Amino acid sequence: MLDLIIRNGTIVDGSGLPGYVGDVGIRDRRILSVGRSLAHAESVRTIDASGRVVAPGFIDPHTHIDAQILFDPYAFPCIEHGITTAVTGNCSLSMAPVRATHRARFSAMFRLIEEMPAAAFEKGVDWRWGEGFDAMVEQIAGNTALNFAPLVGHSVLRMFVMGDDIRRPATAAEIAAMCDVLRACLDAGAVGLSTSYIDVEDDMRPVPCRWSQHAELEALCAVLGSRNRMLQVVHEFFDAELTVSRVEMMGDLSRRFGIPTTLSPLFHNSVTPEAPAMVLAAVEREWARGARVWPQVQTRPIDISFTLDQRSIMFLVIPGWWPVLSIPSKAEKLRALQDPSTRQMLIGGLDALGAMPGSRMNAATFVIRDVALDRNRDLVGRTLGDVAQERGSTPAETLIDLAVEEDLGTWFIRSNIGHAEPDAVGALLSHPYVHVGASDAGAHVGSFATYGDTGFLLSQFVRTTGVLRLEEAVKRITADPARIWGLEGRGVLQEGFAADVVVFDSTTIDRGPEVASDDFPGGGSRWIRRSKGVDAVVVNGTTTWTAADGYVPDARAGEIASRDRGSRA
Amino acid sequence: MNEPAVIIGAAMAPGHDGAAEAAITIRYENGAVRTLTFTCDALAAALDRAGITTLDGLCGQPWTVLVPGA
Repeated sequence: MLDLIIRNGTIVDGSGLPGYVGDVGIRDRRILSVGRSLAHAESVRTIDASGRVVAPGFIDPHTHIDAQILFDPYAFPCIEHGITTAVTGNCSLSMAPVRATHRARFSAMFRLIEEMPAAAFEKGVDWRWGEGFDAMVEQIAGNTALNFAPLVGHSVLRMFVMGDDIRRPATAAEIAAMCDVLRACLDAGAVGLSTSYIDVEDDMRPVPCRWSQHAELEALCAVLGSRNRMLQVVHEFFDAELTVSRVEMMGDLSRRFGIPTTLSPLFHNSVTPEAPAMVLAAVEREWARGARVWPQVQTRPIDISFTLDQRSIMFLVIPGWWPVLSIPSKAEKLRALQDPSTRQMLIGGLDALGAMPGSRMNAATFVIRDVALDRNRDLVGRTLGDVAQERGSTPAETLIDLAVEEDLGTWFIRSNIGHAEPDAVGALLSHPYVHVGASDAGAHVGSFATYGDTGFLLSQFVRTTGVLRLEEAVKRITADPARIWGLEGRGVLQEGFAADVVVFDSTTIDRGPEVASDDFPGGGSRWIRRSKGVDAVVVNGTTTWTAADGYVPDARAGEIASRDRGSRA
Repeated sequence: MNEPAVIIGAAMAPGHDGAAEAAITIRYENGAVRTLTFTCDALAAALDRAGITTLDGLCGQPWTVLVPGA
């Protein structure tokens, strides 16, 4: 008797080989058989996958669900997008090891850098595991619906060993102590170390790891090398030349200590379109010299959100707007926006810019993201062009009028402003040394949704542009990340491997629209995307989410996905 | 003596965190050209001081216009 049989699906097993129709049998958290008919076998549960793709669960290599997973074992809505394993602890910040005396400082850093709502963090994180990494891992492992692969944050590691006196180089004894703690974390299931070269604390001074000297990082990489574990780096992503230097540094560390390294994010940007090619050329040079350097590239385009309440650089490209939006008093600003001559000047400036050949500043395409007044709730998600037509006005007029009506509380969004050219991004995503990821899931939740990138990969780059075959795209988010991160026994539908499985419709899978959600503790709202085209998600043999019934209550089959634990039978 | 470093381009760029940023290209005294990214907060005070109201208005300005207190 099997626990679960997924029947008659097109098996895309993660290897990149062509899909084929067959059954998948699961027992005791493991895949028992793949491909052969199980028509005469019995099982406790069955999923009919006729006409659907059956693939390994997707692996998200760059998340910040560290805090969320403590109060939401499902890390909503990650799982319904097919994510069965998430790497946490990125960007030098992990929830442990953190001393009790450092919780406030760490929390402030995490909330600032990852834009986690303060109320959610304070109400949702109870620190009941204490201080240690092993205790935190054990607590999560016993109460999670998806697998997690935790990194150790370099900033918290420094704080744990050096105390409050952190803004200085470490002594030899402190570096040795950090190595000991890192070694213990790896023993507890950590998949590597994360560090940052750009982030700051809430007083705008560098985060603790940025005060380290290179010898400290070298010592820690030697520890990583003893276990073949990952070094994750947040590089100077805004500067191509600095990034090239960082890639060379990572290549050197990779070769000397025998470790894989990854940096994130790498974007395509029309302002510096040559940047990704420069970085990838450096990456290729490092690989040719024997290093492992994986730049992470996200699939989704970058959007920009704005209100008329605050200044945005957006207004510096629209003639006449910056001085008006710079008026410090809201009352005076509202008066200016309603002054006929000022209003006409603003509308004229935006219309003129939109009318320029090749302009991307077309107000008709701006989307109303959120409103302040309940009576305008039905406008959310609609374009200004659509609403303007309904109101008999122009998009620019509607932008100003709606903002004024709502006391400047309306949020607008310009979509696809960067990393949005399908050919350029597609070329990045199909590069052999690019690691598809960098979703940032769980971060920036007050600014935009960081969920659904895998659905977008399969809809945009498989179905729409065809730059990737379905089997290749699945491999990029399953077997490849499992190999890159050393998650043995995962990422492929293979007998004996962990039964992480996603069933989806390749003709409809996508990310849903961006919507507000008030599910976090402490009130307030965040931006999420629900899934489209996913039928079922199985984590370690347990059906955890289905399109028909939603999240399965009490599904808690997640575990630490690191090599040692993930491969145990 | 070489020309002092000067701003030769300024454009809006998407930021990692969903905010608009400014990508400002500077030609240095030695002829090297480099593009740097500024957040709104980092740029606004400099613009206010210089009375500049558009990104185009930065072009041709010495790089020191970007430095707080310069």
